[in-house]
Amino acid sequence: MEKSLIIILACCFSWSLNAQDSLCVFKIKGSAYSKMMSSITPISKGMFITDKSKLLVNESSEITAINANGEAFQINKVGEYNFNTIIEQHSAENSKSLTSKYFKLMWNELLKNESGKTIIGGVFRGDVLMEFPKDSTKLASSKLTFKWKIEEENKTYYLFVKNLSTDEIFKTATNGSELTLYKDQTIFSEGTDFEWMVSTSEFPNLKNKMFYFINLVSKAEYKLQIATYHTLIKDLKNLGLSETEIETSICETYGICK
Amino acid sequence: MKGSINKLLYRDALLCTLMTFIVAGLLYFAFVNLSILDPFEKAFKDFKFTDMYYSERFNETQRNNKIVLVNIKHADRFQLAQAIEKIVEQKPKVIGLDIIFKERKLEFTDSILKNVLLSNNDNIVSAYFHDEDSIVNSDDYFKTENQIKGYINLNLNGQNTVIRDFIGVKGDNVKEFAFATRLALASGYIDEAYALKELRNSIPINYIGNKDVFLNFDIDEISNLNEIPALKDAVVILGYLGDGNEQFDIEDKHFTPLNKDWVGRAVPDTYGVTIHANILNMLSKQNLIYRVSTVGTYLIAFVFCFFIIVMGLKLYKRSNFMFDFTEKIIQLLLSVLLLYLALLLLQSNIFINIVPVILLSLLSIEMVCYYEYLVKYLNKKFKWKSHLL
Repeated sequence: MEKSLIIILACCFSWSLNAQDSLCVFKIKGSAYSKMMSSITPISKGMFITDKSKLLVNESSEITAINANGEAFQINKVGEYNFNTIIEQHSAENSKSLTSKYFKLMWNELLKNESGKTIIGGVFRGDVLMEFPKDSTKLASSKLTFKWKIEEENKTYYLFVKNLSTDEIFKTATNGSELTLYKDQTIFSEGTDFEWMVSTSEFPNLKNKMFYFINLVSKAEYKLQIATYHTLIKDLKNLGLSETEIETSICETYGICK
Repeated sequence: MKGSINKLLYRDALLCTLMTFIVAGLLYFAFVNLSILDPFEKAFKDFKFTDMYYSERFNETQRNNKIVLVNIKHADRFQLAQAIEKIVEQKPKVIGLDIIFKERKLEFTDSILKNVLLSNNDNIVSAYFHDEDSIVNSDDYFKTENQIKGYINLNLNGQNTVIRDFIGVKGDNVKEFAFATRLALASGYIDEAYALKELRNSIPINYIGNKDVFLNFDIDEISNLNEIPALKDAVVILGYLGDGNEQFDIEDKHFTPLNKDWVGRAVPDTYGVTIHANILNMLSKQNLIYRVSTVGTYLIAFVFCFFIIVMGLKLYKRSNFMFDFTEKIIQLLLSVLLLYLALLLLQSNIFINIVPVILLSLLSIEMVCYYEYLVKYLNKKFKWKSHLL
């Protein structure tokens, strides 16, 4: 009886110790996985990493985990980490004491070392990544290829396609600079007017983002539209441009694409 | 002989200190109380040297995953109801709604939200606020029996635009609890006796940081994730934390000592829900800041002035030139060191209004020269003895 009581108590004690040995995922950029035994699960904010699991961090990913005392551990290099190696990656943000921070500030104030913040009198309009199809494009194709600019610091891009007839939004993530969608996707099942946008943020404020309008047209309508430019097409042909080059040129200039 | 010199020195120091206080008092009443100079007083009310402790992040960075913030953005009531249900499934200790549903909107979505609030009545803390003489609540439709409510007012008497202080409990006969106090009580971080004892007076908020130091989610993330283990046993507060373009969004954003510009603030820095989270963090750790009383502050200023004047008198007696030469340097060093002392005290959770101590100490050095004129006059008239003569 005594023995079993001791075993139960020991189990409870070791369980409580184990319970403390966990880190909460506080921030995650990119992708990382938790590996326990043979199962691998993607890690998201708010999950726990225990001493039984291993952390797999992908390239260009950054993960901040905290312990019960609120101390942060930061990993930004690709690799496989176990619990002990994670807690060695102590964040360096608290390395300076109040004294050194204060006297450094006083020194900067005395020498008037200001941050040199740039002040401008103007507004930014832009940050548009989308490249193709351009805004207000008429498109006749069974597949839609979306192309966008890539930024050095961002690896994941979120493509949003909005059906203007149903207000349905299709969202997908990719790490490249283009994505092709086929017209048999449910988002294209109704209507011909769509908008698309690419963002580096997973949950952008869609009301505040610029969308490019695309109008899906039939092959017959495309031919009709293109016919209005017959003089230009003739001139381009005379200049020696091939059929494909002429189509590309009209698509880029007038937004009528095949 | 040496003993009588020391006695004279200390008597002079005491009198000079008194003279410093009298002159400071006269200057205060003559200049600050003149209505024409009122803008100065108002401008300085928004400025405190100790703000730099938070602004420059002198405190150790702590993070908290036991207080979770959920950004509701501009979600409609149906989305809110869904998010609350999702949060409830994760079994948090308590849910705080830093939201007021001022009027009814759509019957369908309102009824869904009401049902969610009703079924989790014991676990949800709602908000209301005092607007002059009236109380602003959510529409009566959302009222539930035994609803737990806390006031979300952050403006206190004497607190201008910068949110530095907080009162946890108001009222004499009918007690009212602040939103953060209610959350701390409901989650068991503090008990009512503690709240009534410690939180009746205004106390400085022990800020640990802006929203980044708390585990925070967007409402879309809450809806999209199947399971969020961190919400279990956490206090989850739903409120507004911006809806994109955060830099230019000032809805429910306030000035706090966390503002990067500790002088001449221009853009509000902290969302209301983050202020509540900071207060809750302080209460959960019972990490309150002790404020040195005004009398205590002036007593400390008196002691500092006295010893500064003792040194000043000694230096003045030894060499007038040296005194004049070093006066400004001493004043600069004094202000830097006194401010350092105030920040060290703040690190130990003791708040002292250091401005009077600094100003009186600086003035006390200036007063040494004037004190010499005074004792010379007194000596001429009444054969007054002084260390300086």
